[in-house]
Amino acid sequence: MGKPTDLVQGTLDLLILKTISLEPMNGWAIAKRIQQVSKEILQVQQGSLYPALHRLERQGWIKAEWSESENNRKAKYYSLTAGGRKQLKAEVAQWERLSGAIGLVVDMA
Amino acid sequence: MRYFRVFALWLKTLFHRSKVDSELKSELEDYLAQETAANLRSGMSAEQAGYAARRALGPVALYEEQCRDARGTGWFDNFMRDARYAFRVLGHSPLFTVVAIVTLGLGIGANTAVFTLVNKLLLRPLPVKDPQQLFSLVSGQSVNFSYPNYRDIRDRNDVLSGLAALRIEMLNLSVGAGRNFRLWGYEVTGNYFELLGVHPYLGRFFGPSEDIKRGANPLIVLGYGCWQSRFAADRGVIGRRVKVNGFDFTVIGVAKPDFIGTELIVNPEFWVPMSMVPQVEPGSKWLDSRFAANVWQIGRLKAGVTRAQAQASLQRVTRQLSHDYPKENEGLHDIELTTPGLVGNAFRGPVTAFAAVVMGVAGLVLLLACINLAGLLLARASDRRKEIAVRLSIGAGRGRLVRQLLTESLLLAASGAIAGSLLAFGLTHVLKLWHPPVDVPLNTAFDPDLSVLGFTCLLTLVTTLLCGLVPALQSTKLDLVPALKSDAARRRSRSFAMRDILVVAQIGVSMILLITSLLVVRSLQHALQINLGFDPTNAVSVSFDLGLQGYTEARGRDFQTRLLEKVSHLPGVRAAGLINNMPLRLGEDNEEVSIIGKPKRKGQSDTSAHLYNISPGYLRGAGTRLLAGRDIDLYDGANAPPVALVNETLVRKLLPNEDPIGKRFRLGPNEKAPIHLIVGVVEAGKYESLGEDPDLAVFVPVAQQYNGWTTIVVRTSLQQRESLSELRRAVSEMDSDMPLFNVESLEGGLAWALLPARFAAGILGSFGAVAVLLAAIGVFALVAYSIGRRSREIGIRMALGAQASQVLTLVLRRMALLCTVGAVLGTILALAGSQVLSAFLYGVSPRDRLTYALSLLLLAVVTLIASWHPARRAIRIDPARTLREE
Repeated sequence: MGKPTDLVQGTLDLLILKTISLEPMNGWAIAKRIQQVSKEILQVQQGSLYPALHRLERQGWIKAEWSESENNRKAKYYSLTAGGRKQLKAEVAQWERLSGAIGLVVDMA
Repeated sequence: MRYFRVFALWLKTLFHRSKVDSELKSELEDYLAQETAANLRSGMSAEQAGYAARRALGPVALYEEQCRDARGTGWFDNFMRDARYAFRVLGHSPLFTVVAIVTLGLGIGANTAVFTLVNKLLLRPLPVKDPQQLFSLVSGQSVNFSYPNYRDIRDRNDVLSGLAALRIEMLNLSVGAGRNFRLWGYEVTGNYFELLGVHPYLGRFFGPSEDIKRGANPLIVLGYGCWQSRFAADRGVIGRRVKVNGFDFTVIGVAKPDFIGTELIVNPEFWVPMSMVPQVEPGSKWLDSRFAANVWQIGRLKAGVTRAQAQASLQRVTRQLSHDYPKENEGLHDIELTTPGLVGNAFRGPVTAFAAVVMGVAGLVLLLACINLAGLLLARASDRRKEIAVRLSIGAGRGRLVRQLLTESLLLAASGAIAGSLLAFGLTHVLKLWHPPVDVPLNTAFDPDLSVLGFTCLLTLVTTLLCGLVPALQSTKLDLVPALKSDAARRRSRSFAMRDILVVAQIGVSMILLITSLLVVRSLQHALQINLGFDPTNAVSVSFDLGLQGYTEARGRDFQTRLLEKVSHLPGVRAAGLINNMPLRLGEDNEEVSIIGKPKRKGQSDTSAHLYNISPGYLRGAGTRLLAGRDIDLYDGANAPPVALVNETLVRKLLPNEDPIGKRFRLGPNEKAPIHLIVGVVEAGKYESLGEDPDLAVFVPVAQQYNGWTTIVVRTSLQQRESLSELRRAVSEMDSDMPLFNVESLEGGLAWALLPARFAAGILGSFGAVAVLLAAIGVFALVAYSIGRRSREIGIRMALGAQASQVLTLVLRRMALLCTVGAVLGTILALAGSQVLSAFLYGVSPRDRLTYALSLLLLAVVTLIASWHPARRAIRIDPARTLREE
């Protein structure tokens, strides 16, 4: 598989927002889910995951609640706010535009 | 909603830091637990699982910091942590800290004090409603207008919503039996207060309707200061009767403390209506004379009218007035609107120029303080190489370290700013207590405000960057390995060169400051030796105004004659005479002089002369030398042909190469003015200011041109105080209600003339002293520091037999070289910039050699003394002990 790909700057926010848009999740689960869904290609470093979560919370896109996790520990569960949903939509659109554009350039001739 | 949540989160992060931190910790622990569980599920042993999870998680402390950064309060946390650390570090070296704070305190304090003053005089608007709409009217160079012209301008313009006239006059105020004061007051038109939009502290102000009928409204509004000091702040003062120049007035109001009229430097005691002028100034007819330019004008623009539009409109009005009254309004020029506050705007130029110089010098003082501190910080930085290297090597970013070092500087600068503000406050407080040695109640209440605070904060930041940035950048640029291994090996790093530059700069700036202040102080000394045209030693004078006290001309003449006779027989009196007002005191009279038979040549400069009314005996009393002809005597009476004495300058300018005695001149602008015969020539002197160019002066017998304003000048062999009390008694025996002023020696009377020079010398002189002090601190600290660093080397050298003189040379040679270079550079810069100062120097060239030599000598002595103590420590180093210590 080679070295896990470093995330493109700014895409981590998109991945987090997308991941927790389905259901509230804690940090560990978010990292694992991204890893699984991307078939182990995307490795989220803890060093960027938690600061990103805190940054998103500060911007008001996501909110955090404490509840019981699977193994009966108190864990912090993140979920989208209304603003976060809007932001997610905007970021998805942005991403599609960008990846489409890159695709065009790469496929050229 | 979103922003509210964001803000709440920010606050929570800031103030519940421990809670937020523990939340983060349990969040990370939760991660660990889940990861461990997952690892267990995949078949690891418990130990392996925990270990792998920990490794996957990575450095927890780093996340904590990064999360704090992400939350946006990181900078604040960091700052607080840096500040705490800086406190500890600074606490460890109290001597350094004290020196640094004192240094910066002097620099910042000097600037804050100067800025407070500048703010008050130049920047802050008058404390009235919408001050930006208010303008003083200036015609040509003059702010004076005749009252009839004022009325016409007021009624004929369509650009001003209001125009008020005012006159600042010295008036006698009697508040009770024997309590007579001679005070500065305003005579103002009834719309004055309304126009300014100010409100009284007590009672009421008078209005336009109370300024229509002449003499009908004897109403007086007191200034707050006057009410405090002369009426004991009695709230029942409204309705009380007082006398102004002997006429009954009723107190109707007290102004607010911050309202001091419309001139910033004068603090008036009261206001009376303009329509009371005939009562207040008995015999004066100027309210109806278009010749007498006696009032100043202040107007408010109508909404939507620009200054240019208003000027254009007022121009039409004045041109019309010149057309209607060509003779009377010969001197009426187009009107200009200027910011009010400094005699129209007349004082603004000189005050601004002076303020600029003082601000510049204060800035240099601060620069010097910063250089000083930068040097100290740099020296300290090389002591902290090891500490910094350790922190760099365990992963601190350079930016982070620079920030931390700057926090230390900021802490120092902030403490310095606090010390400086206290100093400035003390200084301005002293100024407030200081009663200027002059008649004018100068407004010296220099109270700081928000803009001063802002200025000081700005200074603090600038200071932090100036003195902290270079050392911080320099000391974080390290080769880690040698820095960690040992100090001694790499002594000659770049920081040494940087420190050399700082020493040179420091000495250079001190030199500039020292030269500046010495020049100004020498100029003051010089001012005291200028030929004044009279001899101020062993002479005293007392002034009073007969007109103000209601004396008619006949009674006044009689009073003057009898008083002079009486005073001439007082004990110790060698000579006595009268003059309306001594030269170099406030209250000048000027009159046009035209020599008969010599029409004014085209392009001839001003023929306006200072006019004095004197009695026989004045020349001897004042000690003015008669150069040719005769003094006036008792035969030059009211019915004798008019005579006059003129000064040397008048002869030189108007009657060159001619015998002046026997020539005649007309005194006054029009044809009807009296013609005087020149009977004598007296020495030239100074009349308005010490710095003035030689000016014309004419002395006319008071018997031939009566003037109620009287100063009696006495040359005495008694002590000044005795002689003055004799004089006082003599006057009060003749009229016990006569308010006296300028009861002082002629030397004391020079206070007004010397005020600018004294002020400049006081301020710049103290800056010079501060500069010397800072230079001494800087040199002391650097020498002490470098000796401290080299004590081991010195110990070895001494153990090997080096003599004390050799050690001294070793220690001081470099410093001496740097000081010399700095002094030379400073001298060159001072020479280049000294021209700026010439406006403030009397009789001293801005390149005065003695001053430069003296400055050099002084600086040399100071640096020597400053290095003496540490150098002595160097030669007393005990080799055995220093060697054992390391």
